[in-house]
Amino acid sequence: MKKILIVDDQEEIRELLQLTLQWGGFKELLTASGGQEAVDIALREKPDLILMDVMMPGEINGIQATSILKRHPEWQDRVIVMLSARVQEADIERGIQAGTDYYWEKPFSPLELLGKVERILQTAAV
Amino acid sequence: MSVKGVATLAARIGAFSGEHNLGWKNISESGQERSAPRPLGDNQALLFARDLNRTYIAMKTAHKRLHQSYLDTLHCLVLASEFKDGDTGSHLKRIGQYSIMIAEKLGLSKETVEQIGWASPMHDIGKIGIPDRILMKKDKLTKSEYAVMKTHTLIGAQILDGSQSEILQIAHNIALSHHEKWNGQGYPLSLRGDVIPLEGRIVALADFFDALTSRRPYREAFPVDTVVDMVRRERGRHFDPRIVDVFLEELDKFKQQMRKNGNSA
Repeated sequence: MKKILIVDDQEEIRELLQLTLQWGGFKELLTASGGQEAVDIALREKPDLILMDVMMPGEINGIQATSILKRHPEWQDRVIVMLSARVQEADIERGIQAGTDYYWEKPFSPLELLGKVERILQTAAV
Repeated sequence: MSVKGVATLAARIGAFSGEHNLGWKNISESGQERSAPRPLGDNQALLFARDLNRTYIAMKTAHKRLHQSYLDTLHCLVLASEFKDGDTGSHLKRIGQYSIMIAEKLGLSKETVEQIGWASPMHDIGKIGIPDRILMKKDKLTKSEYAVMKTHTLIGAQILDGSQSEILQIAHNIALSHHEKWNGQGYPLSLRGDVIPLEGRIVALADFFDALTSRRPYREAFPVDTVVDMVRRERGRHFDPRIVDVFLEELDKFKQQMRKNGNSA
């Protein structure tokens, strides 16, 4: 059973993503509302995929959280997906620099997001 | 007001929205960007609603397909039950059409009419339980053979029993009661009047009409007008008077159906 961590400072988005992933049959869902919390939970619970909001208030935002996690060896093979309304080249470049595996636009179609997550986790299954 | 205060205020009034950060983005102590707290944007809610709509349509399509598969299965079941009779299936089609015409004219709901259309061809499904030597006999049946033949109503009811599907419940009633008579002299239970389920009374007439206007191994087909007279005479005896009246009103349509569905035994 694949584990997914949802990171977003907005409660509505976290709830929307949880509902969407539940429809897809993903029952093991974790949430975080900030970058620091995301890093702590990710290191402890080792989810298979993180949906990481980029813009979050607080000490650590999505870019930094990603960067921190990807420096850990066990996070090389796990997937981080960035979600952001900012999709200029520079934004995406920063995401890639931080080590993100995917960078998706907000707002998103929940069904499409679900489809992409399913495909990613299927191919990730060994 | 401090620099941090201004930045916080701007964030609260939604001055930040993606690219338009008014140059205040680097003003906090740690040099980080701030995003304005905001409710689920209209765009996001719209995308969600569209997805919901897509899901709903997919669900309806799947349901439609399932329903059609179910009806196809019923059709196969009916053909299986009539296989030994060597019928091309036109007899079943005619029974279905006759029953629909009567049900419509009686003012039954569109849904009920359709269900009767699906259920009525199953009226003789119990024949599966009748031995071939009786079922396939070319001559007239003896008394005891006839008694066995009559059990096809009970067998059919047994086969069609216990379903939650409305069509199969109606088919069960039809199988059991299509040989009952309005005056109580039918079989298997000698039911009388409107205790006989309406669908059974309808198929009783449809079956009678089709049987006599078709050739059998032991006799030729009767002329249509002769059969119509027989039905008229049995109004209130074999048949529900209301159903006979409806039949007589629709007579031309019945004759049309006969020709259309190639009536031969």
